[in-house]
Amino acid sequence: MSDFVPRQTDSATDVLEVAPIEETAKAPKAIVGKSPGQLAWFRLKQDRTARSTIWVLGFFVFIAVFADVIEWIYGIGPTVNSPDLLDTTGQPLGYLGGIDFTTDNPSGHIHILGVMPATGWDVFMQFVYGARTSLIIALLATVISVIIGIFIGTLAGYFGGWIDQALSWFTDYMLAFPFVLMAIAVIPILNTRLEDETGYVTVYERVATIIVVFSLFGWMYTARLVRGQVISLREREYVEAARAAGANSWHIMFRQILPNLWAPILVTFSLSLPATVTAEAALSFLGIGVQQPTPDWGRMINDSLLYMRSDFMYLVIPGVSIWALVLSFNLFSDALRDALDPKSSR
Amino acid sequence: MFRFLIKRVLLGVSTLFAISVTVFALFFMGPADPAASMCGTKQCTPVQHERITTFLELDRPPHEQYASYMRGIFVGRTIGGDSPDAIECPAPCLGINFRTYEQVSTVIGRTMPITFSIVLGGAVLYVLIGTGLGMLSAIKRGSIFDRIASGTALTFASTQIFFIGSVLLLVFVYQTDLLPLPKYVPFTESPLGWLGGMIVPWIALGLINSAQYARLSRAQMIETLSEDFVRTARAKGLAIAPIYFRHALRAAVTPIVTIAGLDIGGQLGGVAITETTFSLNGMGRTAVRAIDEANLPVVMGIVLFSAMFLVLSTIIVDILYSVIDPRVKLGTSGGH
Repeated sequence: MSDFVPRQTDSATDVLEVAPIEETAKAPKAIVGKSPGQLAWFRLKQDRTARSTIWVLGFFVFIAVFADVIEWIYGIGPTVNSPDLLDTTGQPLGYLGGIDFTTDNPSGHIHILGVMPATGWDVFMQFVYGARTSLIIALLATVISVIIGIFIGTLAGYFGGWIDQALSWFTDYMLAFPFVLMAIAVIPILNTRLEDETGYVTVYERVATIIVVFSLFGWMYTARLVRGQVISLREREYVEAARAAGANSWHIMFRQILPNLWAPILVTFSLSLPATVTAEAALSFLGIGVQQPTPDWGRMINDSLLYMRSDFMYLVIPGVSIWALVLSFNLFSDALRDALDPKSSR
Repeated sequence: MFRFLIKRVLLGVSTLFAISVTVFALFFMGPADPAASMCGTKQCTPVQHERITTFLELDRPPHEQYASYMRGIFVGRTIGGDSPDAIECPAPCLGINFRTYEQVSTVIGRTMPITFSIVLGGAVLYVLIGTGLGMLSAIKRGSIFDRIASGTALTFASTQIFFIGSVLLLVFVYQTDLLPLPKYVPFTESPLGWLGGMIVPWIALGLINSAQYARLSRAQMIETLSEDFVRTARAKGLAIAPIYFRHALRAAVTPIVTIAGLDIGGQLGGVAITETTFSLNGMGRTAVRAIDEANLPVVMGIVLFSAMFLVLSTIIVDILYSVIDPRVKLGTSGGH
C-alpha cells in the first residue's frame, strides 16, 4: 500500500505538497493493484474453511514440533512400560482403554487417552510422537517428489522431441508399478544396504528409506501436470523475448516459465500431502513402515486389531487422528485451489 | 485409429518388459536366499539346500534365469531340468511357487476371482453412488442436500480403508451380527453367499471412493447445465428428466469413465490393504506374503499381472474416450 502514497522525492515539489495529500485522504477507495499472490492470500483469508483448517493443521504441527516439551510437561514418555495398569490378560484397567485424568493410579501419571494393551504405554504420548513421524515423512517425501516432478516435467515439456518421448515413457513406466507391492519389495532391500554388522538399522535410516521410496514413486503426477503446462507456455511472447535476448534454456525454463506455474504446483503439493500421510500409515499398517519403538499411527491401528473387541478406543484414537489430519489437509487444499483459481466455484 | 492402437500397444509392451526386468533385478539385489527360507532353518542340511538350489536353478546367473523365465511365458518350460521329479509347466508359464511347488498361474487363477469380486463390486457401488450424488447435488445446487452430500462424501474420502473397514467389522459384524463376516464364496457355488461375503468390503470401498466421483460429476453437470444447448432444450419445452439424463449426464460421463477406468485398472492387480483388512486372500495379500518369503515367481507373476491391467486400462480409456466423445481424435493429440 505504501507504494501508492506519493513520496516526496525532491524539494522542488514542495509547493505542490498539498495536492497529493488531499488526494490520498479523499480517495480511500482508489483501486489498489494486487499481485495474484496477494489476491489469493486475501481470498484464502476470507474462506471460513481455510481459516478453521489452518488451526487444526497448526495444532498437529505444534504437537509434532514440541513433542519433547509436551512430554516434559505431561510427565511420562511414549514408551514407559506400566504393567500395573493392565489386568492379567494385558487389557487396560478402568474405562475406555484406561483413560485417567488423575494421578491416582499405579503409574502415578495422568493418561488422558488411556494406555496401550499388553505394554501399558501412554496412548496420548504415542499420539503426539506419531504426529511427528507422520508429518516428517509426509512433508519431506512430498517436497522431494514435487521437486523431482517439476524437474522432469519441465525438461520434457520444454525440450519436446525425443527427450519428451523418453521422459514420458519413463513416467508411464513408473506409473505402471503397483506402488504398495514395490514399496514392500524395495524398503527391506534398502534397509539391508544400510544396516550395520549386527543387522541394526537406525530410526533415521528407516525414516530416510521410507522417504526415498515415497519420493521415487510419487513424482509422476506432478511431472505430467508440469509438462502439460510448460508445453502451453513455451511458445509465449515473453519466452521468445528471453530467447531473443540470449537467455539460455536453463534460465528460460526455471526463471521465466516456472514462476508462472507456482499456483498449480502449490495445489498439487497440497493434494499429495494428505495422500502421502495415508500411504505412510498404510505401509505401517502392513508392517513395513517405521518399527517399534518409534510411535506411528498406522502401526497403532494394526496393533489395535488384536484387541478391538475389548478395547475399541485403541483403534479409534489413531484412526481418528489420521482422519482428522487428512481431512483438514484435503479441506485446506480445496480452499487453496479456490483461492488460486478465480474461475473455480464450489 | 489402427496406427494409434499399434503404437499404444507397443509402448505398453515395452513398459511391461522394463517392469519385468526391474522386478527381477530387485530380487537379486535383495538379501533373501529363497532356498534357505524354503528349506527351513532348523533341519536344513547343506545337501538339501544344494538340491533345492539346483532344482530351482537358483545357482545360474540372473540373466539366464530371466531368459528362461521369459521363454517359459511364451513356450512353457520344465522346472527342475533333469531331476526325476521335474515339474512340467505349460505355455503361459509364470514359474512355480518356491514354497508349495504350485504353479504361479494356478496361484493367480485362485486369487484373481477374489480380487476381481472385491474391486468390480466395489467399483459398481462407488461409481453409481458417487455419480448419483453428484448429479443430485448439481441439480439442487446450493441446497442443504448439496452441502450435506459434499460434506459427508469428503469426510469419508479422508478415512483410510484399514480404519473404516475395521470399524465396520467391529460394529456390524462382531458386535451386532448385522452383516456377514467377509469371506470369499465362488459365485457359481452360491450367488447369495458370494454377495454376503463381499458386502462389507464393498461398503467400505464405496464409502471411501464415492467422493471423487460425486465431486467430479457435480462439477461437470454444473458446467453442462449452464451451456447453450441445455438452455435450448429447455426452451423447446423438453421435460426435465431427458435434459438431465440424455444431455447433461452424457457430457459428464467422459471424465468419469477416465477416472473409473484408471482406478479399476490400478486395483485389479490386487488391493493389498483392503484384502489385508478383511483377511481375504486376493492377489494383493498373496503378493505381500510372497515378498516376505522371497518367493520371486509369485511376486513377479502378480506384479506383471497388475502392471498389465494398468497398461491395458489406459489404452481402453483412450479408446472409450473417442467412442463417447466423437470430438476426440486419436493419435493427433500426442497420445496423452
